Amino acid sequence: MSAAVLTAMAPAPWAVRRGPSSPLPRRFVARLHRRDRRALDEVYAEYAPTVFGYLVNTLRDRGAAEDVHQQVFLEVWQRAPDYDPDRATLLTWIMTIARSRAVDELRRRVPEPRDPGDGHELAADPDPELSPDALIERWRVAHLLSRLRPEESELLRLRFYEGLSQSEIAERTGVPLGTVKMRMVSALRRLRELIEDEDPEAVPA
Amino acid sequence: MSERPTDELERLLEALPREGWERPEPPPAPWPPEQPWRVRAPGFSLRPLTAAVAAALLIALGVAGGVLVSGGDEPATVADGTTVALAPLGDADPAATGEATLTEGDAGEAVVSVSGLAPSSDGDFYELWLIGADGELVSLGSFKVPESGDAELRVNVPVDPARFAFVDVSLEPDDGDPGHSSDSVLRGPTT
Repeated sequence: MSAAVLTAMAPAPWAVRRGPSSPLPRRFVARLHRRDRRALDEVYAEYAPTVFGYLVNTLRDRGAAEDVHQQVFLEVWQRAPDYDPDRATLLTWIMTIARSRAVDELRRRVPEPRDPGDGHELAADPDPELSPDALIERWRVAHLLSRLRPEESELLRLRFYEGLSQSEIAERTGVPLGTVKMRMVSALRRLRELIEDEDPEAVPA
Repeated sequence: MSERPTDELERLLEALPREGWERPEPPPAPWPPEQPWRVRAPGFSLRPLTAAVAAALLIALGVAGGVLVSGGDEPATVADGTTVALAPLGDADPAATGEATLTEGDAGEAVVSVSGLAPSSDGDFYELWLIGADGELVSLGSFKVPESGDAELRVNVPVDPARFAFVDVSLEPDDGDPGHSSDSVLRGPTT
């Protein structure tokens, strides 16, 4: 069984938040800088699902997403010796690469204008909610959901994906309504803390 | 739904597609899976603490288990040998290359030539291995690479190479650890 499979079963030790602004262990960064295979496998296990989900969501073409995904992680491998943990978290660094490669792919799809006046331009995505920048924020949050306790992320899934009210969640799960409300507040607070820990500038209002 | 999201975070959560809640299965990593390095065949611990010194001596004297033959007048050949092409891995220069010719059966020998490798420094050396499909490892000896980046060596092969899946060259720090460093620079399949 590869290290990637092993580490996919649980977050890598350095990915588990241990406190505000917990930095990556220096030893792990050193392993990354020398492209230690096991360090890269841990990075892959931690971030590849998020990157792939983001690319499928942004490109809306699974085949293209697989190709771009490979490009992203080859770039991670190539640029690993230059990664500076003081400038960006691993999540921010990798998602920035993913965004750039997704934008490249989208630009390649735009047909070359045959005539400057024929109306073909590098048009923005018709739905700004599906732009690479809008989706990147969404997938950063999706990534951090994986660091919540399973019961916390399940509660948020029932609420925000399935669209259940807190009363309906209580009814479905058998958990008292008061407890559901308390856990909901706690889960959202913890998610905000995780977002702030990743990037203090990116905390949604 | 009676309650509506009241802030941006809640709106982000509501907009997440199903995959965002389930962590989609990504394609395999673009780098090959790591070999299980930890198994080592008993009886072939060729590298003691002074491996780097020994390797340097091998190079200087051309004796014992590994004989560096680079630059010699006669081309190094192995009778009835199987030739394995070695391709770069890891941090190796993409232009690095090598070739290993191994005799068949037990107690044979191998002639290995490498080129384009980083010259050895005081704190490291290269090591030649046979790797089995099950992760079995046999070290065939260690060597240094001069400034040219090219080297050729002849080594005894105390096992039947047909039992092994790969010929591997690793870069080893001089840290006294006889195991594989997991830092392979050249590798080729034996079949």
